[in-house]
Amino acid sequence: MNGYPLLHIRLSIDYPGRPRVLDDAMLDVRPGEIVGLVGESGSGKSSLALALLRLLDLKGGRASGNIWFKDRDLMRAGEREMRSIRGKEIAFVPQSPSSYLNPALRLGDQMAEAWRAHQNGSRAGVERAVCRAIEQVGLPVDRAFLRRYPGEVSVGQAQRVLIAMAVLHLPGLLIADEPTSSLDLISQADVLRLLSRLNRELGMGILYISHDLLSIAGFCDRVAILHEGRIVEFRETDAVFEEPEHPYTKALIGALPGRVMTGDMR
Amino acid sequence: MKAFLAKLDCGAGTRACRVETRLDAFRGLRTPRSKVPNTHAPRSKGIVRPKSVDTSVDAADTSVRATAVVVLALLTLACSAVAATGAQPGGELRFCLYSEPKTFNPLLVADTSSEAIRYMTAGVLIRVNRQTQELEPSLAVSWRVVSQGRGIAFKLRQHVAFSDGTPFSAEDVAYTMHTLFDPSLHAPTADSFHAGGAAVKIETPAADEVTLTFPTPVAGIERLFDQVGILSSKSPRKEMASLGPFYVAQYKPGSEVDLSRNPYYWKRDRQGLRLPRIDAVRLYIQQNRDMELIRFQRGDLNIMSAVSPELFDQLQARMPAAVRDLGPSLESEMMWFNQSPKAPLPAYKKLWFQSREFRRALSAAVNREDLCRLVYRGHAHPAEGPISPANRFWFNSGLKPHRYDPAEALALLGKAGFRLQDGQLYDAQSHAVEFSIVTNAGNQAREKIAQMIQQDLKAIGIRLNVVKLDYSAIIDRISQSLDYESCLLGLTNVDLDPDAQMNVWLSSASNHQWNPNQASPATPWEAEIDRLMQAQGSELNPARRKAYFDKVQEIVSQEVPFLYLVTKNALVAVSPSLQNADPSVLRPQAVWNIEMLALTQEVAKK
Amino acid sequence: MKAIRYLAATLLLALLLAALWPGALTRTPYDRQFRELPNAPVSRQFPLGTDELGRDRLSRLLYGTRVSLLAAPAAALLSTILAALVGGLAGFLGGWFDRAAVALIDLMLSLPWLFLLIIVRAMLPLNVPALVSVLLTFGLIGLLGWPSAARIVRAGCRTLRCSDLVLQARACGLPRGRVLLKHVLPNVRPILTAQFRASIPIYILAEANLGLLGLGVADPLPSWGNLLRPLESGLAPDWAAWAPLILMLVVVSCLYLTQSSKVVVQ
Repeated sequence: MNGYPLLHIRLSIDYPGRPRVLDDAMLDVRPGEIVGLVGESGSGKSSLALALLRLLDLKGGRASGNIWFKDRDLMRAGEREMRSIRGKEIAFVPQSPSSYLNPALRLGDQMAEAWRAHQNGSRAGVERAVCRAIEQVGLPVDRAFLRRYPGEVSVGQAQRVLIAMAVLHLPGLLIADEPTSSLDLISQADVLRLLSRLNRELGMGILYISHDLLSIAGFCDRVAILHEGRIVEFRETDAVFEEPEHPYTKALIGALPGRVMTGDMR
Repeated sequence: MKAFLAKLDCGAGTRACRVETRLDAFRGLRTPRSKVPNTHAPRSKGIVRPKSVDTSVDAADTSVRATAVVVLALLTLACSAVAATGAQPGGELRFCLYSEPKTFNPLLVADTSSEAIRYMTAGVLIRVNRQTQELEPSLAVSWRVVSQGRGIAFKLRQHVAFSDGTPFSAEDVAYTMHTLFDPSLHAPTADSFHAGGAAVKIETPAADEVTLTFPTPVAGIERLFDQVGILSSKSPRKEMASLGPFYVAQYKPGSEVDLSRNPYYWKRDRQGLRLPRIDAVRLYIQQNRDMELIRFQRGDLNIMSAVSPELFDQLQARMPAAVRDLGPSLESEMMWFNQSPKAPLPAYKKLWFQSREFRRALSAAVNREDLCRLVYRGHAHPAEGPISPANRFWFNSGLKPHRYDPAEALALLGKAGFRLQDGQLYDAQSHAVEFSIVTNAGNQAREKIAQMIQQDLKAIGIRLNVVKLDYSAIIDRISQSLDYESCLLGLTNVDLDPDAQMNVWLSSASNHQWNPNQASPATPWEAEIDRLMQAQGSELNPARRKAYFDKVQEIVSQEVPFLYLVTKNALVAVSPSLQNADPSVLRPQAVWNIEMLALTQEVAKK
Repeated sequence: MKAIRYLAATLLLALLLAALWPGALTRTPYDRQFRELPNAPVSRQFPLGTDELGRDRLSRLLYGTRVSLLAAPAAALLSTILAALVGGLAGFLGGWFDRAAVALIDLMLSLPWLFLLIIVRAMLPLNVPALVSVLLTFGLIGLLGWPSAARIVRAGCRTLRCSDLVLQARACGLPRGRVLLKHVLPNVRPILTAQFRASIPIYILAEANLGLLGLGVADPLPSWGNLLRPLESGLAPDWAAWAPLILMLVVVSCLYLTQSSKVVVQ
């Protein structure tokens, strides 16, 4: 891991009637690194994810500041440029597969759509890319499966499809917004293992957003703690656990059932 | 255009003639024609949509007809019979008006509902008998046309009173005429006198005499008084005081008008009993004809007017005694071609339409019998010309409807340079003959006529496109833009006298539909029509006037500016419980003799 | 249920074939007036009798089926597409386009169409071939029928606009147009198909009403609309005169029955 940041942000987010949901938050992700962003519900984690993709306006919010991604300030990028970045260079894995997948579209078609957003390949090319991604996330490479609608597969499978869509174009950065929150414990572990494998194999940087410090402790290189709209702590995972600086972090760690062994998941 | 429609007349199948008895002084008291059997023409009921009441009148009746002596004698008789009033059958007559009456002032009447009410309530000086179409004395016992047609002198009936008891005198007549000709009143009835306001001189030399003098002669002046309801100059009830058989007792807007028997009505029957026989008339304001039919069948209504042929046949199956086909009415259907040089049409099409042979050929190509049979279920007749046989005096009985003869049509077209090739007709310059006919959308009978003409013309290689337009769009096209090729419309004759049709026949007139507003007559025959129409207008002798107008009808039949198609029959339904009913073709049809109508006992009680 | 669907589909197909080749079922021209046989009862020569002008009812019904069964769905399709486009774009894009579209919809719904159609008719040339009159009539119906449906589509798209599935599609880098087409509209498809099906009988009858304004299918070409006109008179006609209505009900029921049982309503 070199020290050159893939992503470096300094962001504030306002909503109408709810100013400073995020207040001058600073964060960076290095290439191939997994950064965890931990904060309680409503602390602006998801807004941050959307702001990174410049899609915050869909939820009615407004972001200000800078998003440096590979030497570009995305805050100054036009919609056309952003479109070419979304999904291709920065991919997004949302939290609940049931509402993020289009119920009216077959899984294969949705993936093909995502592929065609950046590639105009032949039908065979599309199929190859889709199958590769499906394989990578450990789903059966099976036509019948791809012909299903989202309502016809399990939540865990749907979440993997979303991850497969995210890795289709081998993006440099993956933003995972609590991708495990709607899964059972075993599936959660599976997904985390999958992400960490993809991180290793594909060299993707991952910004992993969660409200649960414990679950990601063994998985992240660094952890940022978000509290009341501010990043109160942002350090190596081990350092955070061993000598938490901020009272909120201390409280978080104090609430944990026991000391957590790090590195066991890698 | 509406005015125009109202003016044109239509002819139809021959009408039975009746031996007319000369009217005498007893005429007003005699049972009006109710004894005449219905054998001559198929009887049906159905009141022709009310338009206007007037009928032209034989001008031979101008002379004084009634002798005052007899009238006086009768009046004495009448007075002595007042006590007998209670012996009348009574009862309530019920039927529908199809629209809200706009006014109860007899001088302001312009709509058909008000007109029907006026007929039943207002007293007039001279009555046009709706069956004989002749003049009868009413409030005037006699009259003379004076000053070479410029004036008329009335001798009034005496001992007559309004419905509130106010006595009637020459003063009331003078007051009525002053009001009528008051320009600020804008009385529609005054227009037919063609008199400009104050110029009418009104004199009352005696309490029972009135003389009117107009600035210019008025052709057929007497018949106009049939529409002048006499007002009371003194009655506190103003125009609501009536001299007719009934008076308006109650009006519930949107629902009904109730008429009550006028206890002072002057007329008596042969037995000397006071008329009318019915106590009350209830007029429902009802536009829904289906509801009307149901109520009629239930016995709730006594009369139905303007029955459609379909309804007529249906009703005939269920109540054969109730329906009456009165024979040809004053309503007809006709079509014409746009002959105006100003029309925005291709020059070759104008040539077709201006060709007499073309027009005659097309007239011969239309099967009028089929139209009557299929569209009107036999309740119509092929039309002869502008005047319906229902208009007894003015109808030219020498005219026959154009015969259906496709071979003759093709021969005529051949003469005009057209040729038929592979089922398609071409003109001399090889243009395929195709044109459109505009008619008003929503009129099913007219749409059927158009479709039948379409097939008739197809048989001689002409393609006809039927264009259904909204009424005002048609009016705009035929009178303003002149952007049409041919037009199919129906006409209702308002006025029996041809003088009212001046604005159609004169080539300079705006309602000269086929080529309006000509600076000078475009054709010799139009010039001849102009001359004949002017001649009949300035002539007072009825026989000579008729000779002029007969000639006009002949020219029209020859030159075919209008293709007269069918004359519709007047169809009415009269419940069997109504006695003495003798519906007339002229409005108000079934109630024209309302004072004589009576209801059978059980109905009267109901 | 499946059997009924097949039956309905077969019936529809049979009707469609009859509509396409009416000549195969009748030899009598639809405009031939057998004037000696008006209102004829059912017979071998006239399986449905004749109308009041002596025209073969069966022939008119078959040719009328051709006009109505081909033109009314085409018009319904046109208006549904317009509703989807205007309503979809308005709801999905929001902003000034939405305001303009809503204003347009309100305007369309509040215009005095009776008078406008009269004016339209007045402006048309007089000599219009029957086929052109069919295209004109149904084209006009299709062009005017969309606003109320567009309003419903807009409401649907408006809620979808901020939905997670749109977010996901955008996050994959799909262009907005593509998102509208592939993700938003398929989710309002139930609205659109309902609109399409409901429009067909309405348009068939609307053609009859346009006939009252002089705009309908030109004589002597039959259509279900002008075949139904005699029923308006209130007189009880021959049972055969009801045939077009019965046929129309059959078609509409079949359309509903053949509908896929998969309901994809969100």
